[in-house]
Amino acid sequence: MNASTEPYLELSDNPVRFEAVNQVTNVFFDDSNKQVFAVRSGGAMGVVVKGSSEDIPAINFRMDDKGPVISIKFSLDHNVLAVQRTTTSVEFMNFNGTTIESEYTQNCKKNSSLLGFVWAQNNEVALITDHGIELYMVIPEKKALKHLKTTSATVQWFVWCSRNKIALLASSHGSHLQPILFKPGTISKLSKVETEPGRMTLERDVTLATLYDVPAVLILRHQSGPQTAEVHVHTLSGPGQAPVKSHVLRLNLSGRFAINVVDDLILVHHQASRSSQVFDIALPGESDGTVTYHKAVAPARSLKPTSLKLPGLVEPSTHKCELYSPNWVVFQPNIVIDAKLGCLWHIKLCLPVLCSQISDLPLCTQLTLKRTCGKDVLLKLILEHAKLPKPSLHKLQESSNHINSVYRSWAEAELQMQTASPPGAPPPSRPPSPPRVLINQADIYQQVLQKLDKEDLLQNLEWTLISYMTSLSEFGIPAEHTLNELLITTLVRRNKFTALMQMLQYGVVADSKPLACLLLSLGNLHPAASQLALDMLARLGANEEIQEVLLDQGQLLSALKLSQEGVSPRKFLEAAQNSGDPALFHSTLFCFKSSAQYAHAFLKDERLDTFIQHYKSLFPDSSNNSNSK
Amino acid sequence: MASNCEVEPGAAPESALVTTDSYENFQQMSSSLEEIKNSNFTSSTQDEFLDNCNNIDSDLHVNCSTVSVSSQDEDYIRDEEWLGKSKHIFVLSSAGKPIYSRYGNEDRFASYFGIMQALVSFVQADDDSIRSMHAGDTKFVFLFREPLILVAVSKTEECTSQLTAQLNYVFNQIASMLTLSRLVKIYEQRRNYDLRRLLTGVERLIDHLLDFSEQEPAFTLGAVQCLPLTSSVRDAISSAIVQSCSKIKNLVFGILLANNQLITLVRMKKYCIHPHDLHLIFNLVQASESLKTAEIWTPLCLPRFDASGFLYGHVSYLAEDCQACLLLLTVERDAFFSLSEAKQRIVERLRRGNCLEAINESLNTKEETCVDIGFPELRHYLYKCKSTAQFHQPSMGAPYTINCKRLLDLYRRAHYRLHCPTRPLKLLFERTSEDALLAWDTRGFELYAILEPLTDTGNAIATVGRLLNWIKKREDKLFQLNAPTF
Repeated sequence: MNASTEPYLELSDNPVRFEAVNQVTNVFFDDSNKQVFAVRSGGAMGVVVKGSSEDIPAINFRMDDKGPVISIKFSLDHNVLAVQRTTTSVEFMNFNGTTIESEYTQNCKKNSSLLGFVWAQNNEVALITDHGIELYMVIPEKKALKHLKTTSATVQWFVWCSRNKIALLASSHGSHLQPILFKPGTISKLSKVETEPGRMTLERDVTLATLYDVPAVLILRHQSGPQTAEVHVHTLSGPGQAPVKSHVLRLNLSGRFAINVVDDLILVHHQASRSSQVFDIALPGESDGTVTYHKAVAPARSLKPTSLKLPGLVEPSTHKCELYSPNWVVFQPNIVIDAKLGCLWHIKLCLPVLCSQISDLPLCTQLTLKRTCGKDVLLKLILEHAKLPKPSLHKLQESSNHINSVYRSWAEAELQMQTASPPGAPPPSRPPSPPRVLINQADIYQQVLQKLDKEDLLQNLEWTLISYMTSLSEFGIPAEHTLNELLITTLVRRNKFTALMQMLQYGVVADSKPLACLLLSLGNLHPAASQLALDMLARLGANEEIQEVLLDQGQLLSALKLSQEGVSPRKFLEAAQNSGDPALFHSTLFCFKSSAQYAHAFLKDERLDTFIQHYKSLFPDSSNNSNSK
Repeated sequence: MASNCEVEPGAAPESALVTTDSYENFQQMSSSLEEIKNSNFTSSTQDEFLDNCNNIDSDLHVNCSTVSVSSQDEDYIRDEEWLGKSKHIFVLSSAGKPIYSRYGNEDRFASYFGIMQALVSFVQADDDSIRSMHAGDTKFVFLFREPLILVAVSKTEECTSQLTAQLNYVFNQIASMLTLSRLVKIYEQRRNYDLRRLLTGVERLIDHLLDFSEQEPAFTLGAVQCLPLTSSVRDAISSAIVQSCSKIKNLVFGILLANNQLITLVRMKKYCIHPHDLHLIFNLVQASESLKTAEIWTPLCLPRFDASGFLYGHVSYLAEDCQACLLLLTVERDAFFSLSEAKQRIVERLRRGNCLEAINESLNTKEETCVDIGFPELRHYLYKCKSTAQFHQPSMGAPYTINCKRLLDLYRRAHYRLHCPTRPLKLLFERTSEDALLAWDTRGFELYAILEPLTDTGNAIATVGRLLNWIKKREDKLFQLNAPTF
């Protein structure tokens, strides 16, 4: 299997195993607690409750068989078990972790038919009937329920999203979709989902999901004729959480689909072709102003084949699982259950493989920036691209732009948190959450640039570095010293002194003292570097440093010209004496002797006498000069 | 500084020296001699020169050394010392015959002269003239003055016009020995004439002139320096010369000089001497040791005064105990004895007026440096008064006591910046890591001041202002302000 057809989606290695559906066993899945209930003989033979992972110990208990179970769910705190056996009532049982202690029942209103129930809060349960919603508070101690609120609506079926506590009520064959938001003690209706008038929707075509922390209603729309199916994404992002149809996913297929969400990517499984497509609504797409049309980010691929280990008498055998089986039931966000096989899997995304199948680096960068563990993948991706013999600098820079856009807005948000707001201004709401993938300069330096720092990759290093720094400057982010330093040493190693000079003179590289020191040390390779260093120090106003450099270079008078404040006459005179240039010594001595600040030092400091003696030996005729003051 | 503009120390209404710009055209030459002779109704002619010229023809002999030249050329090409000289000066005839080379024996690289001649005539063929060639740091400067070609090959910092000026001095030095008319005549008669036969002894003068012009700012400035004397002494000396010579006819100039400095210059009414001619005289006096022991009578052509004929000079030092040299220049060929008597009278008068002592005192006094006169930040300066073509400089102080060549280079460069024909500056202030230079050209004077490198602009201007006032106070001592006549 070569890289280009490798599957990027896989099922979890350790599926949760439960007793498969048979004549005596019914299996239920509670997607609020993500629990699988295997109910044997209506509970009399025992109920086994398994969590979403094999690590969570199973709960075993028995309950009386009072008829077939329609639905069974623990309360969110597992203290109360609710079982629906009829279309008019729900039974509640207090649960202490091992056994059922007491039972009580709640009927729904007369003439209503119970469609289902959901645990809205720890101790609140909502009964959804064809006439509306009844909200009750469960009081286990009193073995009773207290009515809280009733909302009336015509309901044919409903979909529940436990994470956002939103229920979508459907009526008129699904042409009216009414989202309901549950809050402690109350329920409220949100704006209706705007659909094409009269367009019916099946329950199985509606998915409630959370995309980038925003609740969304995903509706699968089958088209008639040659057109292919689409997924319409209505995000609850309008005023008052009103649903807005903002994205359309073009599937280019028709038939039966199932939808999962992994890491805010929408996975659309197609049963007929046994393949899955991946969509990201955060990526740019063709847009008509309000709705963005998306294509799959990568070619459709099948899930990675998986198999089960079966204990055998002699040796364990493996059973190859059928993928996209008709027995599969899909739950949000990423759960696949094969009831016949008795398996619960989580779908996982293999980001590196997905990225390897996206040829466009900037697109891939955008995708990776939104994934929870995209950082290492992205850095590797950039490194890989930068190592190409002829990397596309344009793409590299565009990719850097995406990275730095995130970097910049994060830095800004952080800065805003740190700066004091004026009195009276509302305090910042809450600390901004860090972006999923934050790649700063140190990351790029360590993970990409340093790895390019090899003799045969110097050219690539230069390209990558310059495109990254260009992008930094486009976003107004000052480059850190390590980058500047690397840029300079790289250009020097590539013998591009002209380019280096231009970059310094046009301020591409920000001035700093360490950088000036680096330039100074390059002076022996490239004479102009010393001057560039001095210029930089001058721009920084670092007179002391300039003076030291000039002194070191023997330019004593230039050093004195710069400033005569707080210098040591002895240091200068010694340097002048060592230079062997009598004129220089004359000028230096004259400068100190004629300066009001230092003239008295010649009277006090005996060590300076040697210089006057030296002067007299140099210019025996002009003893006047040294005595006159 | 504006207030000081009025101060023009050393300015005088009339001058014995022709006031001059340094790079002025040297071609213009007056014919003063004829005037003088005619005005005095003398009938002396130039027959003598013509006679000489005729004699030359019979003296001609073929230069036999040319056969071996080519092989010896190579010696010089390989001679590091010869190649390493910073400035070569060559003189050749327009036919390409070698006449003078500053270094080495010109016969040994005669083919070089051929190349130089070829370059000049090649450009001339297009009715053009070659002035200079530049190859790296080396300048090749050409001066073609009928009938001679003069070439300077220089690695020094001097500019082309300064090198051209130097070549002109060399030409004038040759002309002063022969007169221009005779020079032209010789070549008219015989293009291949080997002029060296006539110039024996002059080579030494040219050598000296070249060294002299490189060491003395006087040549750069086109001015002369006066020996500092109080005005009463100077006037007494002048009047001593005037009175002693009052009865001698056709005496054109009386010049008293010492140690390359002018003491006084007495002149015939209406006639002035050009500083360049005076430089030649200074050169002659300095280069000729023999003058110290005897009175000499010598024909001398002053090319800027009159290039066509000779003046006759009585040259002698005043006395054993006074090393000032007196020149009495006349148009009369046979006035030696009357001038010799006049000289004796002058010495007597001077001795009586205690002027010899004054001269000796001034000669023996070590001149003040800038520090001595109270300008510690001033290292050295040149002040040239334009109206009298005289200049003053202090004694060399530290640090230029060790490297005075640098000082002269600085002055030459500054002078060029103020006088360059394309973009002359009026005021120049330049600070380098070694020195600060202020050069100022006004209508009345030129001032070149070298200051400590850390002097700032305001200080420099203030110093220069004070300096001008200081010079003004002593102008009658430092300059000859009147131009006495016979």
